[in-house]
Amino acid sequence: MASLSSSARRLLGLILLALNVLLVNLLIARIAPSWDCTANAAFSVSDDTREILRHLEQRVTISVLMAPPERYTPSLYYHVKELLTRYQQLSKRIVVRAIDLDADPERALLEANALGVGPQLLRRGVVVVTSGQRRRQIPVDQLATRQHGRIVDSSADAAISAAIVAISERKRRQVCLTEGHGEPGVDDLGDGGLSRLAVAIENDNFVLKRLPPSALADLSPRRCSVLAVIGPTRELLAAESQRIAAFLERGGALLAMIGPVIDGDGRHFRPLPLKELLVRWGVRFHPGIVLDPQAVAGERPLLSWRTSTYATHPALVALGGRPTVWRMAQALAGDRGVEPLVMSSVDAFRVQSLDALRGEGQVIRPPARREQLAVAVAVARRQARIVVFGSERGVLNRRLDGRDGNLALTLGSLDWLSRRARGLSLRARQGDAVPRISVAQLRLVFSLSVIGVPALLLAVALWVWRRRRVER
Amino acid sequence: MSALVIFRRELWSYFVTPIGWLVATLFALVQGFSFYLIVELSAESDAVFGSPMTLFFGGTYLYWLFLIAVCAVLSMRLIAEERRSGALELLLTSGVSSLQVVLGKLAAALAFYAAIWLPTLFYVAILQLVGGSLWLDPGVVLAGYLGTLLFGLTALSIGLLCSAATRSQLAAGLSTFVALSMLLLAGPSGLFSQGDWSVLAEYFDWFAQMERFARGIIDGRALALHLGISLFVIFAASAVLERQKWRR
Repeated sequence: MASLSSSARRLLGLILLALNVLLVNLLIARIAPSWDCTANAAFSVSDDTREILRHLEQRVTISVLMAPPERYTPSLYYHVKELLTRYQQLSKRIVVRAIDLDADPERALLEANALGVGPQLLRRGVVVVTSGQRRRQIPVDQLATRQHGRIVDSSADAAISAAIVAISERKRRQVCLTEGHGEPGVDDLGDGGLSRLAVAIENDNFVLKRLPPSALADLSPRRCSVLAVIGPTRELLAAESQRIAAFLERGGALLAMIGPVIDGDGRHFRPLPLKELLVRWGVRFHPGIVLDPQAVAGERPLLSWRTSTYATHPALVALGGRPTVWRMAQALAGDRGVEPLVMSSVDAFRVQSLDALRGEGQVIRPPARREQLAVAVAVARRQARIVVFGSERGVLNRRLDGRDGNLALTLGSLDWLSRRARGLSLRARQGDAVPRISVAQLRLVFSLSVIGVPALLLAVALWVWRRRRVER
Repeated sequence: MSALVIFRRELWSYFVTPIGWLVATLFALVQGFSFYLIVELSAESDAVFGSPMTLFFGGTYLYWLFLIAVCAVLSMRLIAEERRSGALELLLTSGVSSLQVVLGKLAAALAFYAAIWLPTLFYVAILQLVGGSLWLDPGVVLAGYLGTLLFGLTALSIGLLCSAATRSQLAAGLSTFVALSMLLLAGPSGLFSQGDWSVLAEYFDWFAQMERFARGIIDGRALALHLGISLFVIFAASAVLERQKWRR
C-alpha cells in the first residue's frame, strides 16, 4: 500500500512537471526569444528600424511571396523570414504573411492578384508591405545581392524598413515630371518610353504628376516634393529655368537625368538642357560619352557598361550595392559640396567624336591619367537637394526590368530627394563569401580531417588496450 | 556529492576502455569525411552552400545518423548493464538516491559525448588555415556546438530512460534508436499535414531547430523545448528506478 501511494505520488509529480514544462514552452513560444550570434549581425534589426517600429501608429502587413529553397542552402527566403520574425517581436502592429509559392501556388496567385503583383514579379518573388490602402512592392532582387544563391550583400532590413516608412506617411509625396521638352512619355509603352518607371514610382507610394511647361509657373516645394526632368532633348525656356531655380532656392528637390543630346544628322552634340542652371549649383558636365571597356554590357558593348562602384550616400541605400547599367552616359563633376554617387572603373575614358562611336572612325583612348568618372552626382546645398544622372537611358522601358539596379537607384534618389527615408541610413550587410581553395589545400583538409584526427584517436585506443592487457 | 562520485566513476569508465576510444575514432572518421566533402562542395565556384560549418552542423544525414547512433550506444549500458550485473541494487541501497544515480550517469555520458565532439574543433582550425575569416564565423561555430550539445542532452536523456526501463542493453539501444528516429521524423511529417499538427510538428522539428543554430541563431524556443524534455525524462527515469527499488 505504501508502495502504491508512493508510485501515485511519483506519477502525480511527473504529471505536474510535464504541465510545467508545457506551460514554460507555451510562454516561450509566444515570446520566441532568439539571439543572433553571427559576426555581421545578419539577422539583427538595426537601431533605425527599431525606432521606426516603435513609432508605428497603424497596422502594417508584410506579405512574403517567395519560394523557399532546400534546407541549409543560403536562402533569401530564410533570411527575410528570420528578419521579419524580429520585426514582429518589436511591434505588435506588424503582421507577417509568408506564402510558399511552390507549396501553395493557388493561394499565392490569389494573394498576388489582391496585392497587384504581376505574374513576372511573382515568379521572381516579392515582398509587399501594406498599410490601409497604401502598398509598396519590393522585388527580391532589391533585398540582396546574390551569387549562385549566396547572399553577398543584404539590404533586406533597409529596404523593408524604408517601405514601412514610405507607406506609414500620413501624406503621399508628389513627384512632378516635366513634359514638353522632348522628354520620353510616361504613357509610352514602347522601348523608349517611361511607362514602367511611372508605374514603379506610383507603386513606391509617390503620386506622379505631369508638369507641362505652363504648369511650371506654379512650381513650389509644397506642390512637388521632387521635380523630375528626365531625358529632355530641347533646352528649357529661360523663364522655365528661372522658375526651377526659384523652386530650388525655396528648398525644392530636383532629379535631373540628362544624357548627351545628339543632332538629327547624328554628327554633333547639341547643347545640354538645364546645363546652365546645374552649373550654378556646382554640377559640371564633361563633354563626350563615357566608355568603360572594363565592364561592358548590352548589345552595343562599348556604349553600355555596368558598374558597382558607389559612394556612401543615403540615396544609395535601397540599391544595396547591385550593379547599374549606363548607356550613352556623360561624365559629371562638381565643386565642393557635389558628391559623386556612381563611378566608372579607372579604365573608363570619354569619347567626343560621334563618328568614332558610329564606327566610321577609330575610338582612340586618350593617354590621359587613369581616373574614375562620375556619372551620377548629388548636391545638398542650403535647403535644396539635387541628384543628376549623366544619362536617362537606364530608366527607359527597354532597360527597366528590375534586375539591374537602375530602378532602385532612381527610387532611392527619390526617397532621399523627398526626404522620405530621413534618418534611415542602413548599410547593406555582408553575406557569405566564397574563398578560393587550391587542390593542395583540399588535400591538406583530407589528410588532417579524414586521416590525421582519427589516426590520433586510434593510437590512443591502441595504447589504452595495450595498457589494460599489461595490467591484467 | 554522490552524483559527483557516480559521474567521475562513469566518465572514467569511458576513457579507460578501448571501446570508448574506438567509438571516438569511428565518430571522428565519419565526421572528418563528412567535413572534407562539405569543404570540397563549398569550395566550388557555383556552390549553393554557405559556410562549411553551417552545413556541418546538421546539414548532412551523417550528422543525424551518428548523433542518434552514438547517443544510443553511449546511453544503452548506463543502467541496463548495472541492473544485469546486479550492481544497481547495491547502488540504490547504499544511500544514493535514484535521482543522483540518473544525474551522475547522464552527466558522464554528456561529458563523453562532448569529448568526442572536441576533435571536430580541429576542423575550425583547418578552415581558418585554408579559408581564413571568409569561411569562419565564430558565432556560427559557437551556436552550432551549443545546438549539438543541446540535442545530445535530449538524446542521451531519452537513452537513459530506455536503459532504466529494461534489463537488456540491446533492447535499450534499439528502443533509444527508434524513439530518437521517431522524434527526428516528427518535424518533417508536418510538411505533409496541415492545421494544428503542422504547427506542432514545426515546433518539434529538430532539423529546422538545428538549422537555426547552424546559421548562428540561438533559438530560445529550442532551448526551452530540449531542456524541458530532458528535465522531464530525467525525472521519469528517476521514477522508474525508484519504482524498481520498491519492487525488490
